[in-house]
Amino acid sequence: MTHLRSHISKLMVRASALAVLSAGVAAADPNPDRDVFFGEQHIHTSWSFDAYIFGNTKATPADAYDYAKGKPLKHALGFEMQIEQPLDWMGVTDHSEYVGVIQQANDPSTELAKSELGKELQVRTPADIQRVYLKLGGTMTENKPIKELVSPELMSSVWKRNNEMANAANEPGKFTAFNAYEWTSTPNNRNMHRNIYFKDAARLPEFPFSSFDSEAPEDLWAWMDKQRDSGMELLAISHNANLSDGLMYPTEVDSKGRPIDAAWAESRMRNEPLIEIKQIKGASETHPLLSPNDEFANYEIMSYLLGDPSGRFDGIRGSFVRDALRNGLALEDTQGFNPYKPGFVSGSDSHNAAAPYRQDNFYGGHGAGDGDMKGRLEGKMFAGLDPKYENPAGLSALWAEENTRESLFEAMKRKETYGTSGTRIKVRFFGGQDFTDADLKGENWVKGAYQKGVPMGSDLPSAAGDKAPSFLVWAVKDPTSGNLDRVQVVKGWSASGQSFEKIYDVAWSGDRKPDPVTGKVPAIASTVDIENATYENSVGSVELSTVWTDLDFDPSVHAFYYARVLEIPTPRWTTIQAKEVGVKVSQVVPATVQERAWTSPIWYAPGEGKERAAAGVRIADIGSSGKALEQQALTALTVGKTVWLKNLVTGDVFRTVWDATGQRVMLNIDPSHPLPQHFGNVAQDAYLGVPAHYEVTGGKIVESFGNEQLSWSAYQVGDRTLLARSNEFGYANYEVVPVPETLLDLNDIKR
Amino acid sequence: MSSSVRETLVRLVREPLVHFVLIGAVLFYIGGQKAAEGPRNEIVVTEGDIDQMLLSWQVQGMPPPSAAAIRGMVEAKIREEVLYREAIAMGLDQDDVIVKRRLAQKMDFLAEDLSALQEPTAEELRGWFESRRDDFAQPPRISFRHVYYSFDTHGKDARAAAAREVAVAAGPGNGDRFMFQNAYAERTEAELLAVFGPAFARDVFALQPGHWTGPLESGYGWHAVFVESKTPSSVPVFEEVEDQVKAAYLDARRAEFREEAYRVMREKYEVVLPKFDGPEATPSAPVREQGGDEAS
Repeated sequence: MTHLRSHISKLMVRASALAVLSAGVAAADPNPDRDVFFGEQHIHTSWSFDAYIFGNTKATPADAYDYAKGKPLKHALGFEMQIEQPLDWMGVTDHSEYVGVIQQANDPSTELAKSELGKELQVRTPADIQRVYLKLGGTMTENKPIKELVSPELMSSVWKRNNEMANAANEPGKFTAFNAYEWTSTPNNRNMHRNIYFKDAARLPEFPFSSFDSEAPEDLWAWMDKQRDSGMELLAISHNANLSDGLMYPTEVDSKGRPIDAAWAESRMRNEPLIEIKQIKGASETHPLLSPNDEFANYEIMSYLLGDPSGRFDGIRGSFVRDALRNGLALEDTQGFNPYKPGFVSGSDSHNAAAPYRQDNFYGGHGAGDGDMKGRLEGKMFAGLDPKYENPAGLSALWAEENTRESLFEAMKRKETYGTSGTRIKVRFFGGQDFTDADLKGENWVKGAYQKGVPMGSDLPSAAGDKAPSFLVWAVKDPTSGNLDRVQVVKGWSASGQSFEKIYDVAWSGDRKPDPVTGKVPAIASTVDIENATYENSVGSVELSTVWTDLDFDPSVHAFYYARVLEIPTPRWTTIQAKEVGVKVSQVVPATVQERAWTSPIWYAPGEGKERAAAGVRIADIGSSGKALEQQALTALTVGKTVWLKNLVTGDVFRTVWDATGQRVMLNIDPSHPLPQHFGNVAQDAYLGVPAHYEVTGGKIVESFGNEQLSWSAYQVGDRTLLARSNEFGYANYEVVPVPETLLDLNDIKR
Repeated sequence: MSSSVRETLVRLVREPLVHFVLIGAVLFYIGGQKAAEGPRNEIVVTEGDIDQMLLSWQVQGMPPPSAAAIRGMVEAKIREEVLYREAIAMGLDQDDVIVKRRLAQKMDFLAEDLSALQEPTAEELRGWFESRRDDFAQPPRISFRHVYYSFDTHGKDARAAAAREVAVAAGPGNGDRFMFQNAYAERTEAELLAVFGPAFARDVFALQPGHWTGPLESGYGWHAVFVESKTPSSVPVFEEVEDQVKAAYLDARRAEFREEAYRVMREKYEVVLPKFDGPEATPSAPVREQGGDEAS
């Protein structure tokens, strides 16, 4: 025992000494130009019930913070986990479930302390400790729990202890440990989880609002508002929209079935400024079906529902943040409120109290469930999931004056944040009216950028005249990872209930020329040796920066812009571990990956009087001047017919063939034109003649997008026949037109 | 994920519940005949219980509950108690790995709760610190300037360019603009790692101060380096690190106590294991192992 004791003491001292290591010297002065602080926003320890089940029975929040500071930690399967580079901050996001009985029994002011039972539980000497522990333990192992001790009325000691450990690990200026927890609402296997962050350890709730209290985010926000009214500062970060089956970003009704309105939007934005864009269980940026023109959209897609319910699969619409940003603009434009203006962070959601951020040290995120290399490669199903679809944890980057709870919390609140796929890409992104190349030069360019523009996460100030906004973007590679391939600006905009996106390559390495047809910068050469799982930094850049002006700018429409930075291709963890185990590289997932960073968006809103009249017709305005086509008329118009439609918003004219057997195909779609939301890859489908199923029912043409139904309805207004899609916010944007003589005007495409 | 497993659990629990309802209906019918003879199970809800429910309701920031809501809470409590007791009576908790682990986890929490109750005295802390001062040593620090030759502008020639810089002992003004700082003061290896990568952060400490030297490679290119000064590792005095010492001491106490409590309990058991020498060996006659914490 003496031996064991001294061993344990040694271990613990080493852990604490590490903390001291970084604490020694006084913190640097706050930097008004802000530094970037990389951290872990989402991690579980053995105190999370499910982590415990995965076999992580030992690691505490204190262990997680020690791991973040560089100390090794034992995995449930016995191997050592250690981060290559310590983190700047972490918030342990466990659930609070345990009831702190002993503290209560030993506090003379409590009811429990006055009871006979409480007296038995009071501790004065070390001998008492043993006695009480064994007494209580006995009742447990005999399955005769003492009722008073499992009652939820007693304060949760886990919550309290979690906060104590965070407070102990917090070293202002050096390392920030946040008071945080996870609200774990999963109605019908649809992920609605949020992490809740608190600014100040002196102002914390008695205990957290849990999903047992309510599964509705609206109730969570109401609780958060209440806490805020009492002087507390807190915010929520939603995660795994990709596993929400469309429930994360609704556009019509809230989780209680009430129509979404301005109050709902305000409540959401007041309480959850951030979303987690990627983690071990996949990315939530976008999906190839939502962004068919984004050649980098097929990135760590995970189609999975928590609990792996039989007979169901995950939905796409409403499950990805770019789609939500677009819908948010459409809501703003058509209804005057926007519930979807979040900034981005990343996370791990590891249940090991430690997380792998890099492809070359991936050890899963769920204890014994996915902790074994061979098990991962042979697709040892973990809760219905092939672990090959998992990927390393993402990191959250916060631009803040200093590494303190207050400064970092403010950064999260103002959304001056970005998420990375796990590497430490540094990226700054500013928007303004008159940035020029000169603004990137000189020692003090950052100061100037803050003065002339707004950083990521902000709204552009109201435009002077119709001047196009310009954006200053600067990115530096992680010195321990791949070089940079390119920097892109992802733009979204909305008009008349339709939303669009376009991706601009704005800075790239080497002398690649944009493709003369698509305008896209060609893929960078891959240096990856797949069999040996290696790569070389012989292509790509250390640093990329530019000032980019939006030449397509239309001052009358709402828009957002965010930067995406891509590294050169490097081997995915599955490729690295296939070499280690000596097996073939899987074709289930890509062999290489392009690590990346996503900045929080910058938004543009047209000023007073700038908004233009909608191009489509508002259905509500049709009134008595027209009428909806009933089932029979709609059938006559469409079934077994080819109909030319004009998109009144874009001006595009295309053919829709609704054949007599319930198949429809759209033809003459120009892939270079921006496409409204939720058409999928209709240009390619048209070219290949790949049909979609439709049905005319209940006076609507019903078709599907992902596993969800969308519909068209038709209206006769005077001599015009108008069609409306159910996801275009109450606008009839398509008009039946005669067969056009030509599809476009050569003057429009003059070189 | 907090919840993939939680969801699986819910599903698993639901299944036994389905069974429970069916079996329970049968048992209820049979038991009902017998129950009339013996004393009935009692579920007592006291005024105190209800007060506590109200308190917990209020603490969650809800408006005062209606009479119906209170009745609902009481009903839910009774329901939970009835189902819980029936499940226990039917042995549904037996061999349930979730129940087992949850209870084991509670035991660990209890141990920690108990160990935290003893405040160490200042003397204890000081003595403990003195016996392991080296563990609290401050890392060495370095101050330096550098001139940067980036891979972006110099490619493979970056090293030679930086080496020329060293040879002519130039100062800032040459080389490429470095995207962070041209000079760093009093930095630790860990701090430099975050900027330059691990090799540079390690190697810069081996350079001699007072003249241009290197070049060193970072993740961005090559650097000519002028080390101004180095501060060796130092051991703080107790007062400087008292808080950290206390935290480390309490951590150690907690772990120690948890193990000690486990050892005491472990001694009460005799463990029967199959005999095995390694992964290839097939289990043969069981071996018996008496309590004790260092079985390995």
